[in-house]
Amino acid sequence: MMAGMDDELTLQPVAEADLLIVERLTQDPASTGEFAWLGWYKLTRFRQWWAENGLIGDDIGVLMVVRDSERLGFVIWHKVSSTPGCYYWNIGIALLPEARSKGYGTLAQRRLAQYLFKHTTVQRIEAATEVDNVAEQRALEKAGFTREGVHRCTGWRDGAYRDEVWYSMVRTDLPG
Amino acid sequence: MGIALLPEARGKGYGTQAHRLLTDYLFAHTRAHRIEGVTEAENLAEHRVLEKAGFTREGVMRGVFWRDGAYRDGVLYSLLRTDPAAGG
Repeated sequence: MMAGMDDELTLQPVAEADLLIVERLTQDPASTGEFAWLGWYKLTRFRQWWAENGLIGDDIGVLMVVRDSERLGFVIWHKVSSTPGCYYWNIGIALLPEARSKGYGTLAQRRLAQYLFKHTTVQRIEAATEVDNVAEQRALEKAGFTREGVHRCTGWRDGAYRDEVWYSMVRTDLPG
Repeated sequence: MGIALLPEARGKGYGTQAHRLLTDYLFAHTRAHRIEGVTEAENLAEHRVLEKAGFTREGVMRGVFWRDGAYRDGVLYSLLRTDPAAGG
């Protein structure tokens, strides 16, 4: 990892022009990557949520991953409820093809975890990825997430059920 | 899925039978491929029941519950339609 790289990466609210990138990373099979192409689904949903709340809601949020002024992709989180009065976040990331394999995924997911622990009361942040998505597993581990186990057949993609690896970061994992 | 038995009905194997009946029912009448159960890490009785009912332990989900003034770890179990215990 290059020195100073961490300082250059920020998470920023989604501007209207950024919606094209969000849509490209969810609806264009050539850009999503193998593991994130799940078919077309409610194509206008990001635009509708953006018009409603700028893609920062109580149950779901999206922030752009930005390096200098360049958009690299986005991070997303949604609420998972467990016991009454208790919830946690499940997070995800999508980077543009040209921004992958450079360590940005690690930094962006670490930044998102720090942001969510800082501004919400959750104890737990989780992330899941397919067992064959080794790049994302490495990114989560480097970002400080702990591997919890393999959940069998929790995903459906490209005609088959897929096993997913579950990762978590709890508030007490944070240094200092 | 989850279960709650009256105090006097616990520790007699009814939980295991009830889990089997429910998973048979759900696999027969729905197209779900996966049934999962999550229980607190310290609820050993329910771990045993899920294992006896043919569920596979998949991992510990840290800090997943809040109960009685503290965050609690959960253990996640699953049964797939294709598992032997589901007749797969």
